[in-house]
Amino acid sequence: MRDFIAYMQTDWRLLIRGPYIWILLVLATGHTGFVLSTVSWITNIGYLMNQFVFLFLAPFSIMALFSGVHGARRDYTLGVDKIMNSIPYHTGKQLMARYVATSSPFIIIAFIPTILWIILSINASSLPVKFTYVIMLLSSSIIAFSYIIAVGWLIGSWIRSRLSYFISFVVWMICIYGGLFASQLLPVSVDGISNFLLIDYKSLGYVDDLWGFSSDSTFWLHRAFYSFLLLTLLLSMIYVMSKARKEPLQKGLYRIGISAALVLSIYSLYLYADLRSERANAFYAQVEFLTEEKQLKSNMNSEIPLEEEMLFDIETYDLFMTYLENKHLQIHSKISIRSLANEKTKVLKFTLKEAFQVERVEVGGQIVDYIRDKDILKIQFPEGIEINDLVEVNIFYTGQVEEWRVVHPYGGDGKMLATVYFATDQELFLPGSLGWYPLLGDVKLQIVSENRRGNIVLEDQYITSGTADYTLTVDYPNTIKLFSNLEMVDRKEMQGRQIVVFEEKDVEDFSLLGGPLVEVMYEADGLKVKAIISELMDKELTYSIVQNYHQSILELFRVLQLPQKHNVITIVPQDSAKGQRVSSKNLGGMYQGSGFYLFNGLYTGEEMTSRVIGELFYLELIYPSMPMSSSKEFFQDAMISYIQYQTIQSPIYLTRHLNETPFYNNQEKRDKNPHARLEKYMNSHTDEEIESMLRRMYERILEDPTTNVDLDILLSK
Amino acid sequence: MIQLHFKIILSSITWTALGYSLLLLSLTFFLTEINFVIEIQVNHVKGIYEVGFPLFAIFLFSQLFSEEIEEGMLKWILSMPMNHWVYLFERWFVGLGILLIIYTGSILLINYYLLSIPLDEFFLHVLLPSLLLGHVAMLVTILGRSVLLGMAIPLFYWIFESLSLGILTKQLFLFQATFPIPNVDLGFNRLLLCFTVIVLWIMSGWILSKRAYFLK
Repeated sequence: MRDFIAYMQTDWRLLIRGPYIWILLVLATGHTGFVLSTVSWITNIGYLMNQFVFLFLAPFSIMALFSGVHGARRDYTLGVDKIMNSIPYHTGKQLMARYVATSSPFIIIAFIPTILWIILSINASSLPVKFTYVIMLLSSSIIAFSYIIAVGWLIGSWIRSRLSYFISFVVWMICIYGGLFASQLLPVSVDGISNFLLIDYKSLGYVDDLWGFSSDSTFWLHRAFYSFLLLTLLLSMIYVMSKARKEPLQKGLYRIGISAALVLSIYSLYLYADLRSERANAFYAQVEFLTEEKQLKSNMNSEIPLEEEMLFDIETYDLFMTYLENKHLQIHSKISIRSLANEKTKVLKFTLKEAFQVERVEVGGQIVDYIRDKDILKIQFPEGIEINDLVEVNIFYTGQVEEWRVVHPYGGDGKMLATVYFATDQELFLPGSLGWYPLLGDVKLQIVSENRRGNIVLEDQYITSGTADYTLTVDYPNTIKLFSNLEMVDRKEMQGRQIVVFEEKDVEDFSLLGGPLVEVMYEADGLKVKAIISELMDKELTYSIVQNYHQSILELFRVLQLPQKHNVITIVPQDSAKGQRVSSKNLGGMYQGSGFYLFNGLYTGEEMTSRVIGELFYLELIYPSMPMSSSKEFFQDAMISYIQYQTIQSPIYLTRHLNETPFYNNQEKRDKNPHARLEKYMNSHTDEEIESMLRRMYERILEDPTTNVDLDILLSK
Repeated sequence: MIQLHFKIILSSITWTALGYSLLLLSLTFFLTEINFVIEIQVNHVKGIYEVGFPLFAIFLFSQLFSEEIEEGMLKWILSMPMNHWVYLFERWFVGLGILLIIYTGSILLINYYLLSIPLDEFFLHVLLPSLLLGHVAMLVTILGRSVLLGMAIPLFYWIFESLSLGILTKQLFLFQATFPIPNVDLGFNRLLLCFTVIVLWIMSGWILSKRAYFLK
């Protein structure tokens, strides 16, 4: 040990001699400041950390690699390698001392994101739930830096000429950029393996705008792979160099150590790929099934008559859910249904996700037969349900929820394995559209479609069971906070568990969330707007966003003179990388969508209000579910512009997209352009006249959204 | 004299950098063959040479003074009765000559055999990032008295620019011709890069003139 300390002291002195360490110090300090200045607008500290790590650590990894090469070549470049060989020293100790001294500046650099996280967390209104875990997660970059220095050392020891720098750069390029290109060609199960740094966390699914930092085991399997690989490299180098110098060495011990480290490294890699492969295969199997089903239905469409419409009305819906061990959920649905059909009904259909196993079904206290076919649950009524009869159906079922999907980050061609729905004692995400509680009728839960770049995507479909009075009682471990679009009316804690009751009358379905989240709400004039956001997001900013949504929604309903049918509107931001949807989507009692940039802090003040109004129409509060059409888009442009004018007095300007084109300068064509005509009308008429015109346009679109709005008729009134 | 400078520069890295420039040229010719693009266009060539060619410049320019620095000879050389500006100029001139010959040769071959490209744009716009990063490599090699830093710092800069695409450097963004960012005028941006190259060259000479710096 004394030798090792002496070697270390020498190498430390050598390290601080000359300008190298000072240049590194200036670079580290300057780069920290520069990167911070580029991410300073982000108010979500989870997203901020992701961007910081991405921009900060990646460039330093090349310096670490080259320092490894330099460390290995030092004796050779100084021309003392032959002399050194003649001196009696212990190769293992000397190599380790040099390696540790070379690594030490980079270990400090790798810690900078962790220090930033600690500062940001302490300055936040409350310490994040995963504070300690994230410290471990961010600090694990040390493994990546230690590994890449060892790789540089290996290359520098092997190729003594300066060429070793070039070769190590090629290795770096293959690992980082090569991995990015290969991810489009290779299966998603091996994605990220070459990315020793694991940047960027977001595109790899390890940090999410809503859920914060992930606790996924594949992250640690990846780190374990590189830790054992690092150990293999270091032991191998010591072994080979000691052997070359013919030093006395416990060869057997080294061989066992190298073999064990290599086996553990390969095993970690295998577990990483296997786990990801299992998740991806489940996704592909579902896609295949839905594609085949779609194909089958389109082939048989002309032969099979359309299914009879189910005429039932849910009056009350009580759900009791208990979280058992091993991520199992035990659920009891108690549904009071009234038949509106003209004749006796003998079969009642529900949609319940296939992953749930139905244990029994009771009607009026009697066990009845049922047929389970994939997502469909058909309940038999031997005696039938009379017209206007109110029946109480009790469905008891259990199951696990852990759904992964292969998504294409930011709508591009890249692939990402992302967790979408889950129920663990750390995180819980069960939107109504998932079918985790029986939905009335034969509902298609998911559809397969193609995104604009032609990649396959699996989309959730939400079809409401109608409005009802819902009560949700959840018995869950007390490790997480629970949230819903329903109102929490009671919460009790006992023996590490919590029993929470949510309730709301006259609402369309419900969703349940749990984890490191917070709820920000604004209520006035009979309307409650709430956002369920990550605890890492800024609450004050979210409050003003929610207020803006509230004001804009009221304004929308006022202008169109529509009755306010929603008591509560719940908004949940969706992660930007997973955001394969362009618009927000009703996932059953709540809207999840593309407004992540608002919640992450990109806009403030009037610009934020303006953006909120733009986002408002994605909530589809005023339409029945219908696809986007040119006339709908035209109407939305006019409405957005008018509400912006009313709210922040911004000028009505519908021809923004035409302004730069030569077309705009042609007065004749401009007079015929619908946007220009509407803009002229709106700028020359009173508010009452404009609002009346907008209402007429809205009614016209509701009648037929596919045909274009006839401006001659619309504007002449 | 030129021949001597040429031999000094010609290290294993220089040879590899020359190989790399051939690889870039081949990539341009085979881009459609490897199904990377359907049809080769000027923008593709611009992208390859604006983003890819700076790596050649970094490796080449980092070698201008590497031989003296790695052998620990620079302090002895500078103690000789010689004009360090002339010394810098001669070495730099050879390096720049190699860079320009390779670049011009590649561009002309593409222009002649592959597709017609606007030569003025390629010499006034596309070449500048390579010149800038090359000069950064030369300056840092001298300033850091280290081959390691001479290669690592400009590569650090290159990686950061390719990841952040100008969000920090803005008016000084290196790849403005290929990935234009809003509110940055290409002409002004290239003028700034040009000015920075001159500053880097003067700084390199100024550091070389501080002979005592190399004795520490």
